[in-house]
Amino acid sequence: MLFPTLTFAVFFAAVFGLNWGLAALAERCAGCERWLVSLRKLVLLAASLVFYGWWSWPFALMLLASSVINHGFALWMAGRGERSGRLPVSLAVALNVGVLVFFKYTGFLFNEAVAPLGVKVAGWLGRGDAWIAFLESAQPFLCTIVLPVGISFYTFQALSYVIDVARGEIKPARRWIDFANYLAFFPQLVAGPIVRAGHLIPAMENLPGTKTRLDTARAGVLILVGLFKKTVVADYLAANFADPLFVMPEEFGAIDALMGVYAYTLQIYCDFSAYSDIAIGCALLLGFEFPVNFDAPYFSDSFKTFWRRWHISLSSWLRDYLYIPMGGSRRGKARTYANLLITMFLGGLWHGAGWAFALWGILHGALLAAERMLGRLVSFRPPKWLARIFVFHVVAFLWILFRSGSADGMETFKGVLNAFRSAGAESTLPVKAGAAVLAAGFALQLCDGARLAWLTDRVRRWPTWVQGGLAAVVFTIILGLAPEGVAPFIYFQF
Amino acid sequence: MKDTEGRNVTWRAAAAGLAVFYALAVLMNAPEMEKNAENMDYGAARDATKALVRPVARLSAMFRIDFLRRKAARVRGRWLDQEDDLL
Repeated sequence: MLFPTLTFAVFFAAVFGLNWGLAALAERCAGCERWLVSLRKLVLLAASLVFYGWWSWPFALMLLASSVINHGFALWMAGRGERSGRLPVSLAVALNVGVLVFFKYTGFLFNEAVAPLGVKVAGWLGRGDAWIAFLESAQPFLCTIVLPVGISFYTFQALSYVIDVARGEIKPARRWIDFANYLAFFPQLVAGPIVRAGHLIPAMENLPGTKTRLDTARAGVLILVGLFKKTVVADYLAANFADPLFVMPEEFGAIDALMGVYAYTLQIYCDFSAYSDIAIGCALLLGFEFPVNFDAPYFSDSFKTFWRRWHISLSSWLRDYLYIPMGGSRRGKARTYANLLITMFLGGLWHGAGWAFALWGILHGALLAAERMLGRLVSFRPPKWLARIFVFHVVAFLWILFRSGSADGMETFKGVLNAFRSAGAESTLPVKAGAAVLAAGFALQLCDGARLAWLTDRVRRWPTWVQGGLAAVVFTIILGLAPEGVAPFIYFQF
Repeated sequence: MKDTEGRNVTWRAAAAGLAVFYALAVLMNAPEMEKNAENMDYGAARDATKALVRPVARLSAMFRIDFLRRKAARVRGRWLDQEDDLL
């Protein structure tokens, strides 16, 4: 189910009514309060499964199975305390990562590692023909592996849960359904933010009651900004600039290539941060608070700052569960640089199974390491505006690699670079309108984080029926400005 | 950070706001929703959506409540989808 659709609008209205209706009923009915609270939790879980099952019911059941297994591991670790040792957490991590690797990386590993290595080994053994026959017979099976939507996100949430329980930082959820609701909660299920167990499980255990005050102003502003980012800006930039350039780079000249790269840079920001905004807004209306996931990343004046502002929930996950356990910056300079490279390499691979993603991650890791090194060696600091322009353009350049990873890899990357060489070629894209939409996309970063507090503070003063009426007007204008249909969110594929 | 909790609302007030939002949004977009329903696959869902949306679409068209959507779409057509905007 996609956020900006009529189906989701109907679905959300039903979930909102059931959630708060049951909460009100539970507070009125003294004898059946516990039963009604359990029913409310069950309704939330069922809603999340319907949201996910709309795409695939078998994978919704797999999500449910994941919640049972991970909660089982957490109870095992908590029950045995320190006596359980590292076995249960190792098993839990291996299982979660194993499932992720199977669905996401089997084809990549098979074609890039097993097949070429096997050809050499079979050649030495004189069984080359048999190996090639095996490779051909394996391809139909590889083609049947479908990547479950959002598996990378909920796997990371499950990992954070079992690892935090093993570290003794949190206790296991009181009941399985609380953990299942944390793992499958529909607003953030398929594209984040990756909410930590310690943050959301307590809210799932003690569901917000009718006395909870809802920030409808912030929720409404976030949802409308998210809708504008996705349906007007991201989809327009994708359809008119980014997709044509990356599908047929040989058809375009330097100006179009530059517009296309800027377009993808802002498309991916508007698309992904839109999902986070809508997710945070929907959760707020149901009484739950998610952390901010984007904080004007293209205003960053260093690569370190960029990663503190881009997909914050993933960056902090990688920091807490990969970078710091590997030693972080505590084990000398060389080890720090290596840790940065490894973390960003794995972060790149998390986005997709392909060398382009891996290289994208490594290059970002190298930039972080180089920045750290330069910061120690050179005392000169460029002006902030210059640093911002530099960081933005390097990040934009690296997005070419990232976007190529979603297509046919390095061929597309080379094609786009070639397009930059044809400086004299005429533009074939609507440059004026495109430039205005690009500027709008860039300016939309002013809505991130607490930057819109001035607006939400004003909206908050109005009665909710005025807020609702005004939201309907803005919503209609957004729909009118948006192209026909809704493209899936980019991060669904990760 | 300013304390804004006091200005937040109860779920009932939020529900009222949401109800106004849904009602107005449907009224202002009903003709477009009817067009989308026409493009749905044949079946019960299409028939039900059309039956639900048609009366609202007529009401919306009669009182020209859909003017905002049409106006915005015209702006898009005139400005964003223009074909002579080439260097």
